[in-house]
Amino acid sequence: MKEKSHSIDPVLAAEIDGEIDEEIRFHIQMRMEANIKKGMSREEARREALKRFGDPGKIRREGREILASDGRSAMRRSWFAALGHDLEYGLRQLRRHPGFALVALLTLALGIGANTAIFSVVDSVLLKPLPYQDPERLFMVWEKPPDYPRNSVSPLTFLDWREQSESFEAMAAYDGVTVVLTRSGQPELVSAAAVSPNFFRLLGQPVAQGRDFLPESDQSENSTAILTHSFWQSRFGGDTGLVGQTITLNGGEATVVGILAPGPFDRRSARLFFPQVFDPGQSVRSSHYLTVYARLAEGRSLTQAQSEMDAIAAAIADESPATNKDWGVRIDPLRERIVQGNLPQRLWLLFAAVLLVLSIACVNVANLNLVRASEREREVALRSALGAGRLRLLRQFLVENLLLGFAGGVLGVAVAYLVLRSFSAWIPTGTLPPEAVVGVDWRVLVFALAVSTLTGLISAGAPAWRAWKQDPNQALKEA
Amino acid sequence: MKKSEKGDLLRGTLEMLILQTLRREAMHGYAITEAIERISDEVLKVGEGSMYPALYRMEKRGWIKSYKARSENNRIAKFYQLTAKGHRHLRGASQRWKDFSRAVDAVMREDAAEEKAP
Repeated sequence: MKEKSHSIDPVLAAEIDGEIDEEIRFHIQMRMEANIKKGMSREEARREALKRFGDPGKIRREGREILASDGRSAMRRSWFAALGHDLEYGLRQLRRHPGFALVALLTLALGIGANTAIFSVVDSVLLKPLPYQDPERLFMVWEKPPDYPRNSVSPLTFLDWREQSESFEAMAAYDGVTVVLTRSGQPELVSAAAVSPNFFRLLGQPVAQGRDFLPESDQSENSTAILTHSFWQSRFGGDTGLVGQTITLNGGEATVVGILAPGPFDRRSARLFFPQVFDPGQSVRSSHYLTVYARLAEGRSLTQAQSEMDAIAAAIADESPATNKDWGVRIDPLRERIVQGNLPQRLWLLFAAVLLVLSIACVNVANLNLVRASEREREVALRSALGAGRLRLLRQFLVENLLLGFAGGVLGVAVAYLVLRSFSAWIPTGTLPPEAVVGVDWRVLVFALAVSTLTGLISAGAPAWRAWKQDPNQALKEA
Repeated sequence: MKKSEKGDLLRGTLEMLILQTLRREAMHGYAITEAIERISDEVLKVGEGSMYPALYRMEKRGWIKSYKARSENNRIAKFYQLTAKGHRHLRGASQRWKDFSRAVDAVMREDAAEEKAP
């Protein structure tokens, strides 16, 4: 029964060759060893074994034809088997050269670890969206004096803005203060903030326990307070019954109505918040002390908002020229407030630096690989002569180096994790914005995986290229 | 006998020998070679390697199945094992061979008897 010969996908052909290859190699090796036992020299033994076997290329071709017409399942089994063998072979090779493996592993681990750590910082500061609701619709609104880019806002102006603007669906003011907190006797100074009652709702910062502030109309709210999660933990020991109790702020009683969920406010300076009250004395246009947050309304654009606010500012300037002549409005996206100055440039520069370090690490490992490759020349040549496809050899080099890359990646992530954990300890506070959470999340892991793979491929590049180009006969002759 | 027929006959015989060898225990290709070689040199004159296409063909037909295991000197090798289907085929082939050789013997004995008789 003659088998029909189909045209075979070359990659599959290489896979099947792999299986047949192994068997042939095993057989000839056994025959060779038997010959040596009979007293032949190594050269003789090999020659006799090869002669006795027949033409390995012919056997491979025949075998390939037989197996190829079997259909896909045989191909898949063969593929998995080949991959498994490659992995095993790669591990064996690395174990046989533990010195190389260790040096390469450490080099790569450090390179990948550094990159992962810096990427985590870059990602959390520059790439990830802010931890608020719909952060791209959040803005900060400033008064703009004639000769300055921005200025704090006065309460009267803020109230006018809020009432008249339709482009912004909500506005909230923030006023950082220091209060005296008295609880169980001991008074202490605490950084706090007076905020508009809708402040947390505007940002989308959830309140984990209790409730948020009620709308402004409720005057009884004026003696309430909301704490940050971290303050609740550190100062009140995570007391679950705190909501509803009263604390003494600046000598007066305030009821704790809510505790924020963990988030960016744990890293900001204000530890507790209470509703803003504008007293008539402060409500003058010349008193600027508020920071204003605003949320753009649905269907409105920034340009629309800007022109609307410009008009409102112009009206205010007309109304009180003494205080507000030529004063305009400055609107900044919230993200720009988050990363200030040249922090983005500095971070990207740092990232480029560690990337360079990793490239050097790759080159080092590639060099080590080249040194090893020249030692393994004869082995490679023999296997080529026995019919191992170049694709197969290439794949084995690749697998071996990818193994190194992934192992380096795992170690690197561990290093990065440790570094990042103590990160906040050794960078000055305030360098990074409070919204940035630096750690190893899935985004960072994906990055580490990508870098590990790339590293493995690059390190394998040089010796793989060499093996590809090698002339087996030449190398065999050089005994 | 045409060359292709001779090849087929040889191939069929080789397959039968392999199956018979595997009847006792599962072996890898090299061990099968050794076992058969003790019995017949002629069959393997084309080269030891020619056994492998036969193995692949038989595995495809489902007469044997392969698995990877450690050989006696601790190397990973592909072992072959007789299947139930292969067992059945072997019984049939073995019977056919017995019939064939008996027939050939009978003819040869007759011839010899004639030669002896004056």
